[in-house]
Amino acid sequence: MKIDNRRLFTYPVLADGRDDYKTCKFTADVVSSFDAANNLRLEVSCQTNCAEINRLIANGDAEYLLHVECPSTIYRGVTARSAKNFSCTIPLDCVRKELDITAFVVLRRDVKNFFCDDWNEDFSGLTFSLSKGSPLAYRRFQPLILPDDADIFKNVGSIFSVYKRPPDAEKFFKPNLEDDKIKIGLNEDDYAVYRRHCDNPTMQPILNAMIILPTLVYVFEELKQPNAIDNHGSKPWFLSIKAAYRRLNIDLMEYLLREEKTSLELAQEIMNLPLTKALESIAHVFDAEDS
Amino acid sequence: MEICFMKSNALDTLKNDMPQIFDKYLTERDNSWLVEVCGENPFVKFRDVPDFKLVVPNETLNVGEVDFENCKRVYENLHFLTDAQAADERLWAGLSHGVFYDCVRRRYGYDTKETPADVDVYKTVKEIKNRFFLNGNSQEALVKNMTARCWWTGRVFYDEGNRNHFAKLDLLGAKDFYTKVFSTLTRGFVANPKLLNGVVKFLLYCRRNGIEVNADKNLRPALKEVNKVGGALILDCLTADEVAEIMIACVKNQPKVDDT
Repeated sequence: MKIDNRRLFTYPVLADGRDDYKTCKFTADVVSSFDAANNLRLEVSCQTNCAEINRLIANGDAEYLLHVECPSTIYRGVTARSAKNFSCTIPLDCVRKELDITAFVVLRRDVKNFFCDDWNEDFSGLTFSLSKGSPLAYRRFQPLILPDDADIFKNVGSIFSVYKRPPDAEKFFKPNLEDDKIKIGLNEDDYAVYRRHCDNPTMQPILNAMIILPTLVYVFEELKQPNAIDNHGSKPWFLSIKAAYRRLNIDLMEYLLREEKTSLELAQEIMNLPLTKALESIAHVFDAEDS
Repeated sequence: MEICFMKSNALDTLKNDMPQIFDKYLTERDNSWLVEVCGENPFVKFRDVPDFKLVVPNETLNVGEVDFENCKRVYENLHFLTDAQAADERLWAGLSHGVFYDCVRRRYGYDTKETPADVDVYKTVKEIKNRFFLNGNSQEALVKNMTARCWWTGRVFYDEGNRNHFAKLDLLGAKDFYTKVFSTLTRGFVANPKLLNGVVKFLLYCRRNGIEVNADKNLRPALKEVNKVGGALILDCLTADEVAEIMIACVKNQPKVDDT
């Protein structure tokens, strides 16, 4: 949604570059960052010194709203809050290249006799009856340029290799971190089932949650050990994970040492909600069978 | 079945050389000519997917019915794509020149063209860029490329919670399909699922009241009404019912479209 100062409104709207209000201002800032779960996080802070608009917000008649649209993908999201400071999270796999972002104050319900004594003389003596959804103030931001993801088609599972363990080995599945890839040994029977389904896109999230998730928990536990860098620091799988975090401006080892998150949380974070994806796939499989 | 995306340099080569090579799209029944034109294999493997085929126009299926059916097939089989991947020209150029090369040619009747001599070069070059690539950076580009259109239409109308995942698409109907999809998907507000549901409620109203959904006579005018309201209000603040009301009000006094 592109709103600019050429757009005509039938009532006063508060924005930079418009002269509908004499002295009042609406300011808004958006700070963007990326989290380890491949999300874009927008921290929004809005403020206005217009007493009438602030009164409408306090009464619940109006609210702050952040409108985000991606011209390259068919993505459009809104986050509306009564608080001046709020945040919203946008999965990076929904958007590409750039985002159009606009902050608003909008009416949540119809309002009669809207009036402010700071209005320009053109509106003197007038009041307005406005409908729900009418913008009272806005700030349009410069498009937010997103980093180009060169690996958009890369198979994320490539740091893992699943192999068949010898028939006399124990039945448990076992990760091995000693090679270039994280190797996951399955017993003969499990491996046969895995091979049958591993190329099926619907089954992949389910297999990831069953096999990759616990393996990554094991990996993060291992990386929290004192000699982790000495043992694994030069291995390609470690460098890949480290690079994934670096793209998010996170130093992996520092992040691990802070111990703010458990290994289970870290694994879910880097896999971007594997359980949710697996359950969606299960639902998809059963829905397909039912229909 | 292996799906591939196209290398960036191959993509640039084909688009830059289009005025000289466009006749290949009209005359060549398979894509083996690409290696020579690009000077290399233009494809990079993305991943394997279970085999599936697209339908092509024939005596019993017109292009609208073909697109309608292919939306379901493409989205059902490629639903794992992220939106960001599905907005990448390399993917759709790869599919349009790769596994679906023959389908795209037949969808647009290139297989029946006698010689390239009788074609309007400017128009044909532009059409090929639209149909085999993502020409431009807008939502229109996603609708003009055949395979991208199928995926994005499936994506927008897919209903996870419904046993028939394509129930919403069924309401749109196969007749005049391209125009209806183009009119709908190029309206920015349908990207908000709540507002799209308003459009779906309008389609349901039409179905229940025996009104045939026709792009020119009722769908496009009704969508225009919503856009007009969007000039004054933030549409995202409206409910699905309110969007549907705007659209229904637009058609309520119109005569029914004759089926014949």
